Amino acid sequence: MLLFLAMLDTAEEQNKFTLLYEKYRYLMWYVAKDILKDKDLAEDAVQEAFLALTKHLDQVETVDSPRTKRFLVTIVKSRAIDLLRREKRAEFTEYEDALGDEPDRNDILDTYLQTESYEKLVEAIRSLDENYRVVLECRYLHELSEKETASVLGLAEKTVNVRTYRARKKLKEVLAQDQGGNV
Amino acid sequence: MSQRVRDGSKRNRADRENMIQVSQNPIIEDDFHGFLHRNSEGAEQLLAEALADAMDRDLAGVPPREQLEQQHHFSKKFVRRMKRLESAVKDGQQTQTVEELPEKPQSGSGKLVDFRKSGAAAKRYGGLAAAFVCVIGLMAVVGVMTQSLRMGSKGTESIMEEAALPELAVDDAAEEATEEADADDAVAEDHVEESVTDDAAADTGTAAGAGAPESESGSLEESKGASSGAQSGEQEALAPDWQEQLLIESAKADELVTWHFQIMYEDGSIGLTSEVVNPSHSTGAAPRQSLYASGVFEVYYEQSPDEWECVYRTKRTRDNYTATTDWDEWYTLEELHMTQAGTYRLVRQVNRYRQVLQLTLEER
Repeated sequence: MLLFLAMLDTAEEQNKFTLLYEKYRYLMWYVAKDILKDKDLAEDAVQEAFLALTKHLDQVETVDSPRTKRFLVTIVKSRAIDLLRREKRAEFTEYEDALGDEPDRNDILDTYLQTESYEKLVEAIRSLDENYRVVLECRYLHELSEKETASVLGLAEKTVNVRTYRARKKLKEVLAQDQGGNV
Repeated sequence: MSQRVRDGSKRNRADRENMIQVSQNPIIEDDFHGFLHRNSEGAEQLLAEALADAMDRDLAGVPPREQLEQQHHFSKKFVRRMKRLESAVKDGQQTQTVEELPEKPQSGSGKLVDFRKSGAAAKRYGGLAAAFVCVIGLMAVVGVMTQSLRMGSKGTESIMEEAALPELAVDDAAEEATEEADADDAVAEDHVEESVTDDAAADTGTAAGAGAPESESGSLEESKGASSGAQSGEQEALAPDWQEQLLIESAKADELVTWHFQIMYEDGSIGLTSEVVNPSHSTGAAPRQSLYASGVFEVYYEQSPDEWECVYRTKRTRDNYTATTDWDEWYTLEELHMTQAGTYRLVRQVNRYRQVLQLTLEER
């Protein structure tokens, strides 16, 4: 009945987990609590985040780096959002586009990114729903593949694909509003 | 005689002063970043850097670690589960959920336990699996009963608490067992026996494996003084001065919460609202979120300094509080027996913990 799953290769990875826990647990708890507004649920989110992290320790290069910090924050945010939905405290209304066609990677968001004020872009990102934001963070900030993103966020690959597309579209709309609606 | 409700919830002054921070992320007029990134490799890199910046700005409002350590002590359940997770990592296991974490770390033989597939295999080996499950269930029951007896013998529960809602008494294993049984997670439902076993066995200290990592992973172990202090704090909360403890705990919240009288209806019913102010937006902007006061459990009236009389207690039991409980509920002052001027403390049941509000009724 015992089946082989995986083995963490080195003692370094095992130690890395402990170091990550020691360094970031309070930060992760705070981020989760900011979303969940509940201390106990925030602890649950941190637990689930570290559990998810065990499958992606290879994404962590150095323990003490801004990149690692952001990665952990993304994971715990996604877990907090999941808990929020499970606790039925929030409903995520998936942004609906008119067509179910294949997401186009070459959408005109790129145009906005290159021409729009950087500060406006940052503020537009901060105004995005967290469900979209974590997908963008995984795909672009942490440079994860669709499969890796799906694993980190606990989503299906197709959902990641669609949600990435919709996140970009939503971001474009926010930027377009700043421009006075000129698309 | 009209009455005016004045909010007066207590908060730790130092925490409040620390939370009130001037926003450190003003909009930068100089579009240096924009200029820089227009010369960068591509839109995706620009988006990546903007995402990083956005996250960093959000995290700029996080209090320093020392302050967070003072504000929050991780629960014993959390620390225990993290220890088990660390043990599983060190033994080279991967698990799907926290509930699947084995009680004892497996040896480094390359053989790992997949409880999901064990469940599937149990269907094929029905007799063996059924016997195994029965043994686990019996161990869980014994563990919970042992823990219940141990908690009961400490004698720190107040008579009031016992008379009101015995099921709310602090009982680590029983509460965890109840929480595990109530878990919405499908995996938790499949493995509730294992999870109860894990918690119960850990509580009874029968697992040598749980003990072994403690010496190796001291960093994962919250200080015993803090955890036992929190535990004794919870138990002390059941003593007559538990309201003070709860007020202190409420004051540690890292959210700036103010309570306001919202409305008084013609029939005398009142509505209270609380406003959660995000410190990063403490620049006069409107609060991000409003909550309704509800779920009043008890009301106490201050007869004299440090002398409180319970004037109201709900007839509802903990069984009524579920994830779908409608919290939007109004109370009349008469229903809460808040009929005379003075200072009152409202004890609210908020999910799995209680919150104490202190209000003052003034005669106009």
